[in-house]
Amino acid sequence: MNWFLNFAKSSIGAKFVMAITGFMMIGFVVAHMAGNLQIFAGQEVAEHTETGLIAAREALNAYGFKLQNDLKPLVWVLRLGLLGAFLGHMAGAYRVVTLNQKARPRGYVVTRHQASTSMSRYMAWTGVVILVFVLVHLAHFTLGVLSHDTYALTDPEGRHDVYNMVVLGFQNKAYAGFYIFAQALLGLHLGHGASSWLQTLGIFHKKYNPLIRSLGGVVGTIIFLGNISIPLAVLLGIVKASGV
Amino acid sequence: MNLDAKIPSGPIEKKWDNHRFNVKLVNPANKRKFNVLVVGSGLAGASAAATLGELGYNVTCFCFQDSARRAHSIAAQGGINAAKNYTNDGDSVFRLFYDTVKGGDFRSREANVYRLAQVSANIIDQAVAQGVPFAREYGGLLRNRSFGGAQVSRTFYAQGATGQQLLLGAYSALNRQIGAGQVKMVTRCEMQDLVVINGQARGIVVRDLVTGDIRSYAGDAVVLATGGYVNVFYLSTNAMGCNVTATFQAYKRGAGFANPCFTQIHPTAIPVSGDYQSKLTLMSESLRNDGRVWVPKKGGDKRRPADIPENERDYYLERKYPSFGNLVPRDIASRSAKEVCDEGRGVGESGLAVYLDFRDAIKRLGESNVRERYGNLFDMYQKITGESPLEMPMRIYPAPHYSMGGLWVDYNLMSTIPGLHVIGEANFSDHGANRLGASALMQGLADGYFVLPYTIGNYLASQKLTAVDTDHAAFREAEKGVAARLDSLLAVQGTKPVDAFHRRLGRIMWDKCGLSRSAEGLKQALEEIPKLRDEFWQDVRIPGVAKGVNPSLERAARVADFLEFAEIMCWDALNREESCGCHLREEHQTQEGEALRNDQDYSYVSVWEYKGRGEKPELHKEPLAFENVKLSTRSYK
Amino acid sequence: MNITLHVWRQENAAAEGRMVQFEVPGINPDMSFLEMLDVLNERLEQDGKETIAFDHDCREGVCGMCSLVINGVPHGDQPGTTTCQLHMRHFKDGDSIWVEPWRATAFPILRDLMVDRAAFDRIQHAGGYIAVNTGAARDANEQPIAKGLADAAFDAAACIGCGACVAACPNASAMLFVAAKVAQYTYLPQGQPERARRALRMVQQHDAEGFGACSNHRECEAVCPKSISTEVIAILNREYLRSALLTNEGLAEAAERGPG
Repeated sequence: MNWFLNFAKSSIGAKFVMAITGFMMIGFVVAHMAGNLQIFAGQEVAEHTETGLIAAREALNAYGFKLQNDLKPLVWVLRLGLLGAFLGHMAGAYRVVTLNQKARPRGYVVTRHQASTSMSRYMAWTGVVILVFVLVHLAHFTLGVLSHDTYALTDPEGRHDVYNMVVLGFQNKAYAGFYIFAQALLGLHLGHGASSWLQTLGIFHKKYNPLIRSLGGVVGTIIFLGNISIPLAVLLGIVKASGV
Repeated sequence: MNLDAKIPSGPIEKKWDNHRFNVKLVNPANKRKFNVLVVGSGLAGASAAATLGELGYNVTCFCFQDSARRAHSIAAQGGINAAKNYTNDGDSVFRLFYDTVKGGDFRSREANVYRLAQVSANIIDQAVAQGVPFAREYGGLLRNRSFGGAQVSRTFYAQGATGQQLLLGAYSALNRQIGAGQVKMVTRCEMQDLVVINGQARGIVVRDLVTGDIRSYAGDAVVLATGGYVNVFYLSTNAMGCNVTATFQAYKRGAGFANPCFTQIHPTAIPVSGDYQSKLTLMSESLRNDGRVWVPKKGGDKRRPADIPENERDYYLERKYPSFGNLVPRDIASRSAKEVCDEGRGVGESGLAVYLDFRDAIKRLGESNVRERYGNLFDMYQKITGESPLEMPMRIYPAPHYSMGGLWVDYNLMSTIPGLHVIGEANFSDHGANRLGASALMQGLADGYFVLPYTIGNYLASQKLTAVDTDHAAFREAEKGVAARLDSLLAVQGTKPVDAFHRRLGRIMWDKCGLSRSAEGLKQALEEIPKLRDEFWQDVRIPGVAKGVNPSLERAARVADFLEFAEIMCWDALNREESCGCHLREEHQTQEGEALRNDQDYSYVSVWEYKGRGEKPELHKEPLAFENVKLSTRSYK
Repeated sequence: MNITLHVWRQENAAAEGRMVQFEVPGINPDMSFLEMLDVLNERLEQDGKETIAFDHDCREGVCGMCSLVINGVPHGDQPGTTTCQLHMRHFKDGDSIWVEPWRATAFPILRDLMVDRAAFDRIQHAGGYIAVNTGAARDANEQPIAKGLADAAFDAAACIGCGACVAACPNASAMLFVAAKVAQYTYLPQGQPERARRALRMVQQHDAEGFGACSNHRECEAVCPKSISTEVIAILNREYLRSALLTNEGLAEAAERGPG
């Protein structure tokens, strides 16, 4: 497989690795967001019935339970795939960044950018912040290292109480703030990345280029708005803790 | 000086075939034993170096720019002629041959021109196979346009960048050979001297323009593809670096210089706008396909061109030459522009310009069609002048563009020094006293791809060449001479910059050996040039040292050669007591001001032999025989 | 017009460089940028001072020799223009203008504003050609080529090899340069037989020269004097991926050299 290593280390090969893994992670981020948004399912009912607040957590907790039990093998396959994508993306990024730094060790006295955006120029920095965020986020919600009390909550059915863990977690303003900040950077990261990966794979056509080029903005914005809606809803009191 | 042109016997259409059969061949296994030095990497040099490499010779190719791709062939805009007759309008090898001989005003060598017309078609095939993106019809076949001096459409083109695309094609072939190790490319090195050993050209001495080192290269044959010398006029359409040094040094070493006074003044360049001007930008002759040339009928008419009504405009080319109209050959178009300006009818601030108007073409074809044909030329014009040719007629004026003259070569493209071959614009052979548009690219590539690779084999196979390397005393001596010359330039430490002298030389040459020449003016020039040269050697100021990058020194060395070379041009112009092609002697005109050729006394190539600095060179003559075309007064009426 | 110039001066490749200020009074707005430098140089020569070295030749925007980053933009801020075609009328009286050389590891500075772009040539040596010996071509009209393809090939082939793409790229990547050549041949039927080898070898050489990777910033197309579109980079990516992943190209070499 020497040829593959040669390929992956080349300037285009490293970008290819990043494009493919980036696409995988976009898929994950979209799916993850869709799952999380179930937090809003049942919120309307919650206002009107006595059991409403309990109903509000039903959707998310059931979803969480399903993932962790019925779909466990699949989830682990996806997790390993995701880990691979993540590591691949970072390795590709490391390769590209080193190549680029070596390519121009000394910059200009005056620089005036004509076309690039800060989104594209700060990909590495937004990427690093997103990495830190992911680690914190995992520690917080997936492993419970940062949130022993809320992580241990269960609902009356004895399931892991994802709903309340999230709501209580975001009631911490510092964490919610960091989360929103990280989502903004993720949005910017995708704002470039979600268009760029298609160009890297050589997918373009004069007729569809405007569409391809606007893809990043659209994906980035959707992810940003979708993901920050949860901490915002918690902070604004639209989504409240349920049954605790 | 032996001026045997070695023209093969037989009927003209068989000469090249016969010759190719009769030349001696170098065995494929022996080719790698021969080292060939190719100086210059333009169309001629790159195509020759690549083809020689493909054949198996060891080639070293030199250019003074940072890459072979920069040679000035790249700037040719309009197109390349070829006798393909794809347009079914009656073209043939013979017609291209005839047009070229006639266009050159019967001062070129028939056999060479016929061969050029013969191989012209192969060039197009070769270029297309290399991926040169010529203009095409919707059906996918190649497209042609017409050009000055011809009544058929035989010009192939790639928008307004034909030279660029053809050069990049040759450059790609060269790159393939460099990649394969057959050709070694030496960039940023300028040839300073030719080394002749036992009467044979055996090497060159170059100055490395980065380190300043003087270095020698030895070979079994030397090929000069170093382009033309019209930068002698200071302002020309040539690149800033174009110079006469390589051919002039070869001339000093014994190569005959042929027809040096034949310099083409191109009719459609953007006029001079100020003293600071460093060069003139050409607007392709193809513009004359659709643009109409005119000036106001009365002198000193300062109205805006749009305000001048039709009946007060003089479309002088259409009036004087109804059958060719705006597409008359370049020399005639240039001279006519000068005439109307001399009459005080020139336009623009300086009064040294005529209009090239696209108003009627836009009416006829629509703006978008005109833009498609000439868009990049219009943009170029607008960048320089700040005016759009779609709104205002272009202002154009003649500018020195090409040198038909060059080192004398025989049918094998070998100069009077055995082993020294000269190709492309650097030689004199094919264009006579005037080159037709779209023929320079054709000749450069014909020489490089299809002629020299055969004929140089003949030389190498028929010589007894002793092994010579750069340790030979002749190289040491030449290196010393080059270093001493550069040191003496640096040692002057006068008061004036190099360009001040070059500008003055240009002025003398433009006024006295330019669009029209007279015995009186030429004699004055022959007095002024040596004076200017002496002043240069006493008062030029070149900062810096010989080591390292020194652009001032580079230019000074070139100008020093121009200052000597200019004299030969004037001697040649003075000797030629006739008007032919680009060379209009005021004493020799018809009543109507048309050129008056003298076939009785001047149907020859004048070849000049160096006799020492400041000495009048010796004139030799190669008589021209015309067996296949009838000598006639060139008429485009 | 009166101009203040800040110019990068550097004795040679090994020396340290710095910005040096020059006052250049009496500039005519119709001058080209290089003619303005000529005027300054002629004044320096007159004073016996060494002139500012810069590359230039054809002065009509096609040889690709001229360079210069002017106020932070390669070839200045006029679109589709080389430095030699940039005219002083685009500046104002009293302007300060910053002039720097192309900056990239693969383009070492030779002196002042001159850089060594031989890396570009070496990339072309690696595969920037269609292998056809002189005389081996068939009739030019034997194979029709759709006008659209021929035009697209021309647009890519318009590259003058000046290196502005590298100079502008935040990564000092030469992808636009490599891609322009690869795209030209990809569009044409003549380029097909060697396409896999060409893409692989040219990209390998590009990387070996020390150019950066493409991050799709699209600075290159914005400054390209021939306005070559980054679409050609997508073509190059496609060609390279096809070559590296779907053909046998590069296998033998990898076996020989090992990863590295």
